[in-house]
Amino acid sequence: MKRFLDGDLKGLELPRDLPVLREAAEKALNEDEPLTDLYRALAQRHPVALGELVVGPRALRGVLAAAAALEVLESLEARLNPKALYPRLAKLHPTAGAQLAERALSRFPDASWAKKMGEEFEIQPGQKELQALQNSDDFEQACHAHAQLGHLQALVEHASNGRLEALAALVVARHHEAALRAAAMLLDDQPDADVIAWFAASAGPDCERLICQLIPHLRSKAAVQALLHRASAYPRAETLLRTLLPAVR
Amino acid sequence: MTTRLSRCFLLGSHTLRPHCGAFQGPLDLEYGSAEVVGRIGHTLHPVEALSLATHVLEVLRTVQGDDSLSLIRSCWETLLIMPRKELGPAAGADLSLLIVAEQDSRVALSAVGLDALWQVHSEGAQQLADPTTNETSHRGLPERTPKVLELQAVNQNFLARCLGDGQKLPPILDPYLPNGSPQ
Repeated sequence: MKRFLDGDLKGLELPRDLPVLREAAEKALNEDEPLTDLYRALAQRHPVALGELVVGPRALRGVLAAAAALEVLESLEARLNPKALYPRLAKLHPTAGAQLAERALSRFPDASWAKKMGEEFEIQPGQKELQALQNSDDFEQACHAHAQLGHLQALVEHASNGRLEALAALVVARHHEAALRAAAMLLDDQPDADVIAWFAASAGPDCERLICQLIPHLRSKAAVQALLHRASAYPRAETLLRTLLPAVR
Repeated sequence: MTTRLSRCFLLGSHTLRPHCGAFQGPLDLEYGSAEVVGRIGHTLHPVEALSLATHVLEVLRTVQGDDSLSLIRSCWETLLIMPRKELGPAAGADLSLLIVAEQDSRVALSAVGLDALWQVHSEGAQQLADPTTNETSHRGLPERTPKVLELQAVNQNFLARCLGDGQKLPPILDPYLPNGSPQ
């Protein structure tokens, strides 16, 4: 019944007519027809029937079923425990596992089951969201939110690529070790990066201590020179950099 | 090197760049100790804010005084005669500054641009000023030298919040206690 696939559920009495709907959906999958409109309509009017089709014992499988399920995740979450929902969907649709893990991490960043899914599918928490906001005014705010959630690797990656907002977010959230790692990588690649100014804006009185802790991580003369050039407000760090300068190549 | 006796600290703002434009350093007081904390250009890009804050601190660190009161007066006079364009795009209207000088068992304080000022003890913190305290809450660099508050005390620590940052005291005061673990 093509009209079911278009989301027209008139005349159906659910859950009694679920077998009719299942048959129509299975036929559609065999013919590579999308289920998105059907799932959306069910999400609005018959969420129990939707649950049956998506995660029930005889759940529909296949790429198109997975794509449609991804469209109605929020509706499914409202009725099913996400801790059970996401892993079940990942088991039903292994090809959509990574996408499901990303969504789970994005929606439930603190949940251990979501983190476990993320590890299983090698998802870097926060990376996709930060990537999407790279050119947005919300990027800096997002960096701070992800720093609070402990998404260090994604922030280190952005910071080491020159996004100093990510570096500052790590410092403000007191992830100093990650911040130093990111700053050292950044200075190796871009010696003129304004690391000190962003350390100052984010660490305040701790800034000089951070610079001093960063110095042993520096590997290039250009980085030491560039940092020295910017360290005039921090006499202890300046002295250390001057001492180090002749020793680095 | 003179040991700094009474100290002062400026709390960060509740923004994404909590210490943007902040500065802190000792001042040159021959028979005592003095320190300044402040913030200027906090809405600027961190690079511009650091450059401005460093410039103001460098200027203040050239100031000398025979006693606490003359040192504090000289600090203000030095700032007042600076060309306002050297004080950033806001021409010093966004300056917050707290000067603390200790000499002969007396502590002298002077400030502008503060929402709150506390004296910190091991028992807690006593609020000395709030946004209604004219002597400390003037927005930015004033036209005339601000007043000085003198206390009969030694080895006191002071904690401040800039104008616009509210009056919330940090839950843990240990880093700001006299002989605590100042940064």
